[in-house]
Amino acid sequence: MKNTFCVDDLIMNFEGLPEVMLIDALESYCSEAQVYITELRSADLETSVRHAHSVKTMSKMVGARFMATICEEFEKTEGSGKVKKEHILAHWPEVKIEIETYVASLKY
Amino acid sequence: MVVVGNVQKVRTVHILLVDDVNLMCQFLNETLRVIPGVECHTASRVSTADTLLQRYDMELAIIDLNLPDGSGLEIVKQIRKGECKGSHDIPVLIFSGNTYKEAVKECLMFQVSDIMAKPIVALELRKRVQNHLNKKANINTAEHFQELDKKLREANPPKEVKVKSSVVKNEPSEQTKARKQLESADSEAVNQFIKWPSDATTGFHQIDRRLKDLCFQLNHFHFYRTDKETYPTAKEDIKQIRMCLDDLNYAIKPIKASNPDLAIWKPFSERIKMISELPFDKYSTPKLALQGKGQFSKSLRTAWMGILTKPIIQRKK
Repeated sequence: MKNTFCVDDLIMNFEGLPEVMLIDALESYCSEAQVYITELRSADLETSVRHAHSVKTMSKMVGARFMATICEEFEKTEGSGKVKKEHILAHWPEVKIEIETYVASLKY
Repeated sequence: MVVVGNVQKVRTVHILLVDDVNLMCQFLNETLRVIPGVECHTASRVSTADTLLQRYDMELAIIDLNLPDGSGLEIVKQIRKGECKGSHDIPVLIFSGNTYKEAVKECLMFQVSDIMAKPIVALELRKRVQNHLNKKANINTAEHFQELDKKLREANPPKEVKVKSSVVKNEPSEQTKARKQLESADSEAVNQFIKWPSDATTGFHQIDRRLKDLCFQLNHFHFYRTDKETYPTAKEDIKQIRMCLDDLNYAIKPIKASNPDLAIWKPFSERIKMISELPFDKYSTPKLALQGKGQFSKSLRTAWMGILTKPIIQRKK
């Protein structure tokens, strides 16, 4: 069963930082990862692997576990394994919605 | 060194943070800036890190190995060879999402102080940095590392510095190399039309980050609209730009509420409105005639340059 977003990972990594950082970090993740995901659509393989690496790093930081896993797999196999670019692009909206919903719950 | 004793003397301790992921830079900055006296300087590229190393007397560096214009290892070597304003024997911490065996081996030859895997917990990172700031490591001389680097270059003649993935890649064919060169020229050209100066800031990193994203989105749109014959994703990309602008307007609200008297708000709001009112929808079809592209470019540049002016933008100190 895929674990889209794990709040515990986020809280653990950001322990010791002000609570407002959690919101800021999640919003940063959504906007920054979006840029990479947009670019991924039309990027060549080398750029795609690089972008997958960046999205993997960010995803691990904020607890987007499944996104981190598939980006890691894509990076390791350089797109020639089971995970293709399309899987990352398809999963992204789900992650974004879940995180945005969580952010909204923190704010209101 | 931050002296803590009967009399607490706090002086500025400059720390270099190098990571191409903004979120990581933000995380590192927020984690470390609470250490008394610490002032963090962030860079997302080897070239920017070099500029900062020449400008500030850095006392610690945290470096990601995987950077868009080279390897973080180049920065490690630069520091250890004494090719920077500060001392060569400062603590250098590697912070990486992958364990590149060759790169790590070379980092150890250049006596990096610590290697940390991503992700890392904020408290753990802060503790490690404080420990490194408070102890004096036994590092070889700068001449030793200059000699070492020379020997390594002779043994392995310089080629294009790229951080390889952990899986061995097959050597690409000549055709693929030629195609990649063209595509790489493309991706460089995308970010040439408008720029976000590396030493610019609004004074608020939340706004800076969003303006950089906006700059990227606008460059991307402009490049594909004016340089390519067809642009099938024009509508989706325009939607992204509008979401970027909405996000920027939304992010400003709490900052403006906490700092209502700042002079930047009125001009900032006017300039963002100028960008919002550009006729993107006129340029949303997959194919477009040449006529009108020139005017759009001019309007976009004018609107963006309006943002890069005082009092909105200051130069980073």
